[in-house]
Amino acid sequence: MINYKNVLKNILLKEEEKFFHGLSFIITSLIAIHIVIYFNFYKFSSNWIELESKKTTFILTNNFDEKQVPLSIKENIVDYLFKNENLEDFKVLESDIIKESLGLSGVNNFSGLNLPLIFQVVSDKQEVIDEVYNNLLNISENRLVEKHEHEDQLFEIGMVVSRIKSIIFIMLLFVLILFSFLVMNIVKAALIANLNFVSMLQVMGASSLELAKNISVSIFKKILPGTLLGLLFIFLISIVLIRILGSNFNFFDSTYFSQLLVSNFFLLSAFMVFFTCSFLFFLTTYLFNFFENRFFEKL
Amino acid sequence: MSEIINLKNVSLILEKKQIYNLNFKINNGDFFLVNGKNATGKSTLLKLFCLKILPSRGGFYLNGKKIESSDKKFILEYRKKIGVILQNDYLIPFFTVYENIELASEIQNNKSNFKSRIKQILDWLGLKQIENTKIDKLSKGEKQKVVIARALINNPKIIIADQPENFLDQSTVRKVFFLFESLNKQGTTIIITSNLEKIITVNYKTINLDQ
Repeated sequence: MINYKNVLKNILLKEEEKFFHGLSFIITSLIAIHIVIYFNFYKFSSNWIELESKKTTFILTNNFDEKQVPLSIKENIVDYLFKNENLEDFKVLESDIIKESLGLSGVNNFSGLNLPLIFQVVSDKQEVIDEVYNNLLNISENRLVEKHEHEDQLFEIGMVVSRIKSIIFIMLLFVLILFSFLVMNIVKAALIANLNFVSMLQVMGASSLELAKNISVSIFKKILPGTLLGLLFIFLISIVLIRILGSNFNFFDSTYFSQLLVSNFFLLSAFMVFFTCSFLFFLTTYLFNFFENRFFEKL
Repeated sequence: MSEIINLKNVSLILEKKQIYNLNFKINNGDFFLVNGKNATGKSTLLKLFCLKILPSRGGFYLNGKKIESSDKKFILEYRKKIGVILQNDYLIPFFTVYENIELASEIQNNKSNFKSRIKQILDWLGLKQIENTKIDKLSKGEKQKVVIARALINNPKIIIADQPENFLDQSTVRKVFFLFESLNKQGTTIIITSNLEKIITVNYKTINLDQ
């Protein structure tokens, strides 16, 4: 038996096959690059924001007559932080690092430079931070303790990031709508050009659903090579992008980049499945409606 | 004989042409002719018989049931049972004669004995030698024979033909009408024509659209 999908495949859009390959390559690449950037942007930025927002910096200022915070107090603080199980992590910034970051590494200990004790604690629970602050006041023997929560300073950055992500998402929707509209119109034009033949098939008893399903599959076959090529292309682009733009804020995780590549691969594969299903559903629905409207010729 | 098609006060109102108050019955076994000059609405009436259009006014009854636009399933089943020969062939040019006929079989889900049936029809119409020839290599007369073969492949209960004699020589016209007449014993034949009364030998009903 001959397959009448082949008839439709050869009759509809036969001349436009190469155009469809090119169009689907460009559009799929555009859609996929938006998806890759959207999800990786989330990984790069929000991962960093999330890590950074958990941090709180404490600055313990030495008394007026002290060159630095006494070593015994520093040791008590470190001991307290070490024993505090509610904290995810803590880090004391050594005076050499502070001097280096201020560009004062040449200044020796006999100068008049007074350095505070600076340390960071990591916890996303506000009550833990408050408890640390209160205990520090006691341990520091009423020296001045300043608390700087990074989350407050990151609020603006978070807003910018979510705005950029919204723009990427809107662009993605725009490209998707444009592609759907374009395919819909090309298919409609092809069907109207072959309306008499399609009408003949209807008179022979072909149902609207049968025609819609077969035409959708044959059009999908025309865009499949371009789509696959587009996805592969964007996967390669994403490797380059991750290498250039990606930053590993999980310093101790050496597999971070390979995990990103694998997750990108699965992301694009999931997109392919979603794209296939939604494209076939959308086109079949549209064509079914097209044929149902032409089930009878209008007088 | 049981009634197949019944038109009661049917009017078809088109932009350029109006057909008013058609009243006639077509029974099982009838050989029905629709006569008329050019632009009298013959092809429009053919579309009505195929249920590709519905009347503007009046009732089209099929096996006693009045057809409404909502009866799409019923209409679809009816369309599968008819064999239609249109003036334009709508054959697939890059398919062979055999494949074009096979396509009709597939659409109408006729899976039993279709191969022997195709061979029989090809023999009858003298298409055996060109069964593997592509349509775009055929003459107009040969194409018309393929269209007739395609319409008859599924042993239709109703044959609807729009000027099937076009492009055929006299001997083939006689052959084709002999085939129609023999098939008519199992069903109904509706032929739209200008002047074929001389060829047809069976008793026929006729409606003249010139009047």
